Amino acid sequence: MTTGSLAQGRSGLIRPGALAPDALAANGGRALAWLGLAAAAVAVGLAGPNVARHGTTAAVYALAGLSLNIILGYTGQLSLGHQGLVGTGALFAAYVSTAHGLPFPVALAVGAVTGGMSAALVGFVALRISGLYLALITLVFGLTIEQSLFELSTFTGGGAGEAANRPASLLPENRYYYVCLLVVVGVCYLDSRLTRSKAGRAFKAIKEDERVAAAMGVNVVGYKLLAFTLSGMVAGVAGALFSFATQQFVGSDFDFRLALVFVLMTVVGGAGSRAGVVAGSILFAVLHDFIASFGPFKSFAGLFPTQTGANILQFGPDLVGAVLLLLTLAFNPGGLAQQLAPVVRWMTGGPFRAPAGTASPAAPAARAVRP
Amino acid sequence: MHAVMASVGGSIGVPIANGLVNGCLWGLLAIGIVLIYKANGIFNFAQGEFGSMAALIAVSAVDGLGPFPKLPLPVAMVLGLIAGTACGLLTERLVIRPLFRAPRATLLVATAGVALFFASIQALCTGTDLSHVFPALGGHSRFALFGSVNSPDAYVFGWTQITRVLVLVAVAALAVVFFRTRYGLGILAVSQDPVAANTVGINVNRISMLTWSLAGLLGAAAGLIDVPGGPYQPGLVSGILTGVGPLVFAFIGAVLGGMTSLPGAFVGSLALGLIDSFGGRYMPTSVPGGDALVIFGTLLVVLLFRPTGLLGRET
Amino acid sequence: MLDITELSIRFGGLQALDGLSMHIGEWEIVGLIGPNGAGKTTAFNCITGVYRPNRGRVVFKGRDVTRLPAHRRAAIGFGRTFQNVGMVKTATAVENLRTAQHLKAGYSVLSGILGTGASLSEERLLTARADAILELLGLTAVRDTVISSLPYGMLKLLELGCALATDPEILLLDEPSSGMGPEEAHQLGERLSFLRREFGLTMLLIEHHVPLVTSLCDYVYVLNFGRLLAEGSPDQIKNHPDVVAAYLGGEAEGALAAAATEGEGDDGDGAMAATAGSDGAVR
Repeated sequence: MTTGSLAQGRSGLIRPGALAPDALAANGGRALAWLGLAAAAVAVGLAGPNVARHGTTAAVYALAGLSLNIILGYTGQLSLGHQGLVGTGALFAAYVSTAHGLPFPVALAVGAVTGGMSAALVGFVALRISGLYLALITLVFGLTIEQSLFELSTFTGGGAGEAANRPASLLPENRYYYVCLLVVVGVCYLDSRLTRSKAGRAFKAIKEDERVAAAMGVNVVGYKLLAFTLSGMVAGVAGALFSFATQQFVGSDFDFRLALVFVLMTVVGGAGSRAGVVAGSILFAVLHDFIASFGPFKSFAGLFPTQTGANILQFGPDLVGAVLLLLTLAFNPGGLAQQLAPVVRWMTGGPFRAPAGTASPAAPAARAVRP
Repeated sequence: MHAVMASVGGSIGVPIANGLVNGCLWGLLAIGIVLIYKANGIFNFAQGEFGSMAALIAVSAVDGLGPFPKLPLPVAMVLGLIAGTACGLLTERLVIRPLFRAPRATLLVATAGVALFFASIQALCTGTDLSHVFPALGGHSRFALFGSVNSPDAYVFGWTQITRVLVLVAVAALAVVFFRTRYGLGILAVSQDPVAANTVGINVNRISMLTWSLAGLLGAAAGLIDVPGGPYQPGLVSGILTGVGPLVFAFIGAVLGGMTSLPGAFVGSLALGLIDSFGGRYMPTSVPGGDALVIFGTLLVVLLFRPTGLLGRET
Repeated sequence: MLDITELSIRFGGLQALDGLSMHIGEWEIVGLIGPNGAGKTTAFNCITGVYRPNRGRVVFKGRDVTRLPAHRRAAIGFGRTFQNVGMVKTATAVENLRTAQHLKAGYSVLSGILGTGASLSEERLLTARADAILELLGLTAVRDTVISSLPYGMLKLLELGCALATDPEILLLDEPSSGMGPEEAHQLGERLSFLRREFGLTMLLIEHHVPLVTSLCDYVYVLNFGRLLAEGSPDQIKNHPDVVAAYLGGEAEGALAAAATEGEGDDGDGAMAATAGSDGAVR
């Protein structure tokens, strides 16, 4: 099958020759795989409010991961303060909803805008500072935001946390989950378009070498800012959805630990790969939410004296996460994306086995920081 | 006259004293950070957790938790130092060495992972239990500068604060001596050029272990002078679970002093202590987290306008 | 076309360029040669906007571009290659060519993200142009191969393609023949001549390959220690005593160089292309 420009077809979805018998079988298989994925996602919403709530958490984490992926995976800038961006969106969404009574969709938009704006501020700093020092300053930025902005009394609703009430139609857990799911699907689509457009290529060039990017005509300053802004907007939406999920904004939720979790899940998932990052994020969301209520794990914790058992339930997932990260860095630097690559390639119309000289997302996070 | 002294003390002396004592604690961490930066070219985010682990062991020994019988304070401190050093060594053997060819970003993320790892282990042990208070050093003796122990404008301190200053001075002196010995010079040589050092016969492997053990020891010492007088909490030095810990201040202090300079690490931390003290004072109380804003601002200014810090050189 | 006047730049204690002046006329192919460390790539960096010189001016088609940012220079007609292959190593050949056409992608970022019809048809155009360049350079076979697995000579050729993709008026090529044997280098020379004729290009080359410089270049500038050592036609330069001295150093080093070239024998008449730099460093 030719892979020249003609093969793109009009919409890129149907390739010429796709209706030949053997191609039909393969494409039929792919269609089934996609349907299966969709069915699984839908099924989460049908399995009762608890499962739906876990699904919502997973969706929010996936959005956070996708947003971090834009600056870390695509543009190669290491940010350790991402929880600050998510929190900013969460804070303002809750605030405009409760203090000003704006409707839910507007609150989401406000989350996106405020997230984007704070990210742009960080981006300005990133223009002059790079590498290790950027990691440090974003870390301090995240902490500072948590200590100052999130503690302002206008936003905190007096210590107990600002409320963020869902509209009545979204109160049922499964409905809210479907809303979150839709947002994730939407962002994934936009992200896929981003990577296939000139902006996505510009990011990749910047990550590779800023001088080379400039020689190719890329306005490095502009695109770096764009990357941060887009990242911030998605982070803001994630935060807003999170506020409405818990129906409350609590500043201390967005602490240093969360910053580490975000980085961990992006790296374990495979920075630079959409599918990998989503998989990694879901894994960590499940780790934290689901495991604590998972039967066999509970029995395991029960083997220990009560206090230790409780500690294991609460903090065990963090330990597992840290170990996963270290194992990933040592043995699987491309993250889950490496394992998922054949599947992803097949499902998007390519062969299952890699042809010679195909990209493996090996160590994309590792290239993220220039000395 | 006495009243004037007291009020001068109150508005200037107290913040200075406060800032310097804090700076000593941060300086100890900062020295460890700069050491690793010179040796491996990365920021060691786990530096704080070497201290927290030391604190955990020390507190357990003092309170007789887990496998420990109740032990006297000095013994507990020594155990803590050993524990912290061991953590440093373990990190080097199991994480840094295997990843030694990896790009810096990987190592950076790895140290963050190590930090989370140690913090989780501590959390598994004590969880959210805040009842384990490490006794203030030297009992409850109180001293005062710029006034008596009871006057509001005086700087009141105890042996814990004295220890912080003494430890830093001792470490600074030891550092000067150490870096003239074979081992110290070996560390400096390897940090400049491992291949050349190897050619000259320096055992790079051993030096790497030594460097990280040293970092562990320094971190442990910092943790042990941070915890007295307060409850032990998992991740206290890094602030992973507690909000902000001395680690962040140490990083900023190290940057302020110029990351390439060991004396810069404590000069920078002391300077940061003063900035934090005075800045915190003049920040309006209506702005929450004024502290954090001041140090964030400091870091921003340094990185944007004088990235080599106060004492650093362009590498 | 391109006028460089008194270009000077200093890094800390090192004066990397000192009062360099060059003139490249329209449709000329000019060579920039000199021992390693002479400052040739530094000069390129100043000309293309990667570095800002301390003194001096870069004037392109009558316009002073000394302060223009690098990506804007690419927009007004500067095409460039790098010493260590300046492309996205994790991407395929065609992807790189699409990236290089960044300025030609006639749609806004927003339409790209939304996936509008306009952006999709522009993308098809970019791909078509990329394929055309691949065909021109005989690289169609490796279209969808990730470039990190390609041989070095092919990478340099592809990089030339990326420079062409920016639709330049002047090409600055940094050692385009490195990694190529005599046959390939000759082919490259033919190609560059062809490109000059076909697209009306002007070229400035950093080169070490003597036959290529001799056969291709209309004029040559020789750089040493950041200063212009000599200039003239290739024949004049070849026999210029200062140039020969700069490359071969003193007597002892000359003997070393001769012995080394005998061992290497890679570049045809390797007198200048071979080993000893003026500091005696063996290449």
